[in-house]
Amino acid sequence: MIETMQRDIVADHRERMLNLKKYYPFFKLTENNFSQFKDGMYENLDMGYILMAILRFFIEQNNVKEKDVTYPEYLDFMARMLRENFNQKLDDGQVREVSDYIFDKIRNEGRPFSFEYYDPIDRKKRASRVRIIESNIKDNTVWYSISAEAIEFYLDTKEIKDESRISVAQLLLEKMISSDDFKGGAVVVAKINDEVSNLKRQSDQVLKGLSLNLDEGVKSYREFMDTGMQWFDEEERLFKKNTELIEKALAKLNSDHEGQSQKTEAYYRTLKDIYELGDQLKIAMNRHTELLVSVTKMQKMTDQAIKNAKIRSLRSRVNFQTILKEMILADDAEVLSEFIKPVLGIKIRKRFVLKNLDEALTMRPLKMIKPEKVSFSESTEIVYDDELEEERIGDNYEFLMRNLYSALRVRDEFSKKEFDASMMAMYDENIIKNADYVTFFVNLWQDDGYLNKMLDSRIDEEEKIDFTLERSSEDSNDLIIRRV
Amino acid sequence: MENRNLEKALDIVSLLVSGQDVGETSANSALYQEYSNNSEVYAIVQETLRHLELEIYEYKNSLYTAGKAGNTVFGFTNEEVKKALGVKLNKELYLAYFIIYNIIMQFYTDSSTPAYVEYVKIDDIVNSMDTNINGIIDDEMGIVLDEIEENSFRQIALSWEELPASSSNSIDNTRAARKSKAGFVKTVINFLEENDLLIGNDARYYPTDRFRSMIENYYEDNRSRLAQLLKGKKEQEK
Repeated sequence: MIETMQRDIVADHRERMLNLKKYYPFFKLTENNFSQFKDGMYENLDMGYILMAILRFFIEQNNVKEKDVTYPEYLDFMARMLRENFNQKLDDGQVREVSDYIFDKIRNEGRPFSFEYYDPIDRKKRASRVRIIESNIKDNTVWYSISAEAIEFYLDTKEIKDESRISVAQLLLEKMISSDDFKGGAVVVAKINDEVSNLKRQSDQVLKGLSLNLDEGVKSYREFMDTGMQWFDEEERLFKKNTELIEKALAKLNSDHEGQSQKTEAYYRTLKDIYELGDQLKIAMNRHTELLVSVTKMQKMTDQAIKNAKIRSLRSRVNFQTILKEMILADDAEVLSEFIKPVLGIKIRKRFVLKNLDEALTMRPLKMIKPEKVSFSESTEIVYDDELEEERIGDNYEFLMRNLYSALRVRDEFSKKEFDASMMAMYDENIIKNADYVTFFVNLWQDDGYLNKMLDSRIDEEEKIDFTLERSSEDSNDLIIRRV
Repeated sequence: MENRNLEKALDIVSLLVSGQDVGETSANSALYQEYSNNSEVYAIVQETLRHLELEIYEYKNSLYTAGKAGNTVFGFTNEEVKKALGVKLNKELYLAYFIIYNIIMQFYTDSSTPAYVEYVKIDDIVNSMDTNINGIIDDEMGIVLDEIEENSFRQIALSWEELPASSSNSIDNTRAARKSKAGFVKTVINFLEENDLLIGNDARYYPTDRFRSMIENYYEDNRSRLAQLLKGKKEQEK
């Protein structure tokens, strides 16, 4: 227990701090409330809100439109945003002034934000660096883009329900591949895999829900399709794009090291990372396709369930729970018999075969048929052979059961072999060879109600003894009879 | 009327009242085809069964019959059900009916909405009984034993609550007996299996097509009569 706690405190500390790093610039920046700038002239503005808006703008430009941002474009966005979202009237000069100030702050005057923490393993203070906006110069123009940490921070600030988590994770992956962070990319793909598995689980639950309660099931189905599946095509597109990016990264790596007779260790490490990332992405894509198959199945099932429900809704129905409440309220169990007896079907006993009626009506009597003698003796009840047999079996079973009860009154537990021996001693050695003796135990073992029914009218309830029958643990050919 | 059609119709009736299958996939599929496609055969079967006071239900291309209310020739009487179940007292009979009603509720929420439950186990039914019995007796108010009539729901509740849950440690090995809840449920299940309403496999009990045809048709067809019956009882109570 203490060891686990110690591990959490010491060994995991660095990882926790590195996870916190992406949040650090936000809180650092929001300390600034504009009161120090131009004598508090822009105090009305809110740095937290503005920062989030800028991040979203950069994601839109970098990851959706796939282009970097120039400073004039940033200014355009700021002018629109400041005028639309704050009550303060700002002229062009003021917009420019405040936008410059904010941009400097967000870029931390060109330096990365430095997040300091204590590393308990090395027992040293460490500083981890993080940027929000990165820049590069191309064709004499400075182009700005959002950093991977900033994307991660932005995505982490809200549980994304109305957007595809897979798509946003893929945007992050894209960023990581383009900044050659293949190891980090593999972590992101693992997240994508989790999300795909999560969607698969959700779809299974929707299927289960549909089978239990249609209304609730359809509701969760629609919710699932709205939140989970509407982005499917977009996700597919991003998967393809990232696969292409990985291929490009591989080509770039090879071209960078072309001509080198002795490849460096870094080359092989990067190559391994790229391949691993590619493999992970392929697994994710396969799972994503499997998800589509499962969702298609679910769509069909839902359509069918709705169709069936529509047809059923045309029929009136008897609600069993409501009827039960009414019956309990009336407190007359006789009503129950009216509800149950007819559904038991019809009792099938020996009876006149109706087909014979047809034959009787159509048959021509023979002219030479001898008249039947009229007998005045009372007709006796006909007893069929099988009824005679049943009577014999009943007698024998009753005899055996009574013997079993007698034995149970003497001993609470004994084996069938012991019972056999005592029966042979008491009556005859051949008794255990009797067919009824054998079937008695077969019926007792099968417990299909036949024995109970046969003996109910023969043995009074008070005479009966409850007992169990189980296979002997010592001898698999023997049974143990035990009084309950 | 063609003699041939009469013969076929009577063959169908004969098979139905002797409990045999008449359906598209049964051994008597040719007769089922006649019933479905030959209007004269259909009419004779309907008319004959009407005179025998039997209902005919079609379910998944098979035919099933049930006795109309009060049909003592083909339908079960309470005494016959008691004998078939192996019980002697009315309170035990009503308890058995209540268990059957609970089994129906496991598979159907209403007469036309199957619950998509594939099978039930004995403990499912014992639990459902416990839940539905729970509301019958007001434990706070207590009961006056002398006032309880034999055919009341309160008596059913008392009979059920008097029973121990099970006389063996494992519900799966439950033997049909009247001395425990699980044992009593098993007795009822055995009876339903004999009447081709449930099929048991490895302590799981599945409804048969016969069972489904009865539930989905009988209550709907007799809706107004059953409602009248309940209403009558309520008015008597007042």
